[in-house]
Amino acid sequence: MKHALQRRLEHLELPGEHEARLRAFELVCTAWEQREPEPRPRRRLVPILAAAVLLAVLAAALSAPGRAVLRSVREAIGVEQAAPALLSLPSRGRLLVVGGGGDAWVVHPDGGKRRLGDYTFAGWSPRGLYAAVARGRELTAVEPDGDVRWSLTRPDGVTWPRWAPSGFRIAYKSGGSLRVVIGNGRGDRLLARDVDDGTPALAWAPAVNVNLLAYADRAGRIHLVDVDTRRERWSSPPGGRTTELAWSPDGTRLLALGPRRLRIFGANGLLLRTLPLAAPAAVAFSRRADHTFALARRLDLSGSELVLLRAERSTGRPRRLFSGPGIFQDVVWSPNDRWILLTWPSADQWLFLRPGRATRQRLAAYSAITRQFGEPGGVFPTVGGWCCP
Amino acid sequence: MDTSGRDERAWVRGAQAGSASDLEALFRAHWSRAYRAAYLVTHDAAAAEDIAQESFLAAVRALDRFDRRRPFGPWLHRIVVNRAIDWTRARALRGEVELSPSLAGAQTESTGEARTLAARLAALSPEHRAVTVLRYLLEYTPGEIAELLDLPRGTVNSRLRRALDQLGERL
Repeated sequence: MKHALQRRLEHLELPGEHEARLRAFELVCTAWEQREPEPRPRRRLVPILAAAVLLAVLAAALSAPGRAVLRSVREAIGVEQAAPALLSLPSRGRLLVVGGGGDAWVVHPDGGKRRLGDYTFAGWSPRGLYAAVARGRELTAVEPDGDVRWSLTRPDGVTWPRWAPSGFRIAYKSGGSLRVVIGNGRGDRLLARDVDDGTPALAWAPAVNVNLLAYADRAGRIHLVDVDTRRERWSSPPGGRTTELAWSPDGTRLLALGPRRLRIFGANGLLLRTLPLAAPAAVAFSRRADHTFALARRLDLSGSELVLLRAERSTGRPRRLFSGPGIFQDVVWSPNDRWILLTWPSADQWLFLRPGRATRQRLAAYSAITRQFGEPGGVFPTVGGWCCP
Repeated sequence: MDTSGRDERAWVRGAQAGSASDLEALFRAHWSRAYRAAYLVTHDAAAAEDIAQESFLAAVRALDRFDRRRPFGPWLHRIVVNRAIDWTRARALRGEVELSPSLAGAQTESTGEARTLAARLAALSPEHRAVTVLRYLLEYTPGEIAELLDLPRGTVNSRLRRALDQLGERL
């Protein structure tokens, strides 16, 4: 006979149980589909050897400009023969970097760096003629040599400025709200309230004749809004905290990244797929037409990996480009779409990886990144963009 | 949901072999209690969802290594309850205030009796809630609870006694 307390506990109505069950089942199924079968005990060394061989192949194939050939991977964190300084970029275009000490830098293809100023957030304009930068309560447009074009001040801190592809609007967050200003610094206005200032969950759709902005509210609803008419094109159901959004270059896919899941939306906000994640990650779309994107994700205990997937209902089998201990931070494609910059705080390194067939894969590694953009032992820098040959 | 050990072993074996329907059967058999256990310890719907979900994901990822001779439920419940205790302790350390709808407040459809039970459960420490949930929701014996939580059996008994005292008289 059941204890009275047991009956009561079993029949208490719980809030959200049904919805939670549906969400969980989808995630569990996805994780199950993606799991890699455990190897037989006698083959225990095979994955280790395979990983070592892969890394050795990548290292041996290294031929980035100005770099020595990598031949091995050290057992400690990081690529052993990484160059001690950022000597050059493997592709044309300039990097925008925010150092841990609160300095923004432009890195040129020859490895030369120019300091923009004391800024804690930075993003390129569409053609790289300007950068939208922020520090404290100020939003500023600067030229790549650091000259200030205009600046505006808000009552609250300004974070995550993002320049629209049209060049005519800049979106940013301030005081728990989302705001938009014209590209010349005028017409600053509120677009939405109840957003999380702490995350860059806003992304302009890749259209130049209309200013469409996707953003996440605190409940994880994704909204797509025409900022000029203020008309909402679509919004999604709540999906938990969302930290980053990324559009495919053709504007038909939107990735919504959260600490525990990655949602893939199709045209009109249709949710195509949800992928479970073990921890916060980073995503970036390739320019390829097949909706390929790079995902840096944490593995359970064994570190992190960088994989390529497709933003479709069936994401395809993840193609692993690199894995290593610790955490990865930023993933950025080069402007010519041939290289991926993967930043690796645990190793204090940047890796430039060139995906492709095995014989064409390349890897260039640079170490002591923190010192090059700030104080040794300080905060690892973040990459604000890689723009424009 | 009552599940025979034979069913469960068959589902685990099937899921290991790639059967989606067996995975679904495992999920159906265990989700509700895992979520309920997490909720009754944390009293937070979002946390309960995360905890139950992560526990299942951990189970799925480790499915190929799972020893089919062992019962699946206790293994899952150990993860759920320990994570729920950790989460509740962490929230207390952070000094967070509960904002999400709770059983005690926002369950308008609950009876007064249910609200009273929920409020009294919420007043217990996470450790006391955990042993109560393990004993009276998940139906483990005190000896099994001691094993699941790595506690002396006497501690489990005293926590159960104390929890029942606090929940008891007017229920």
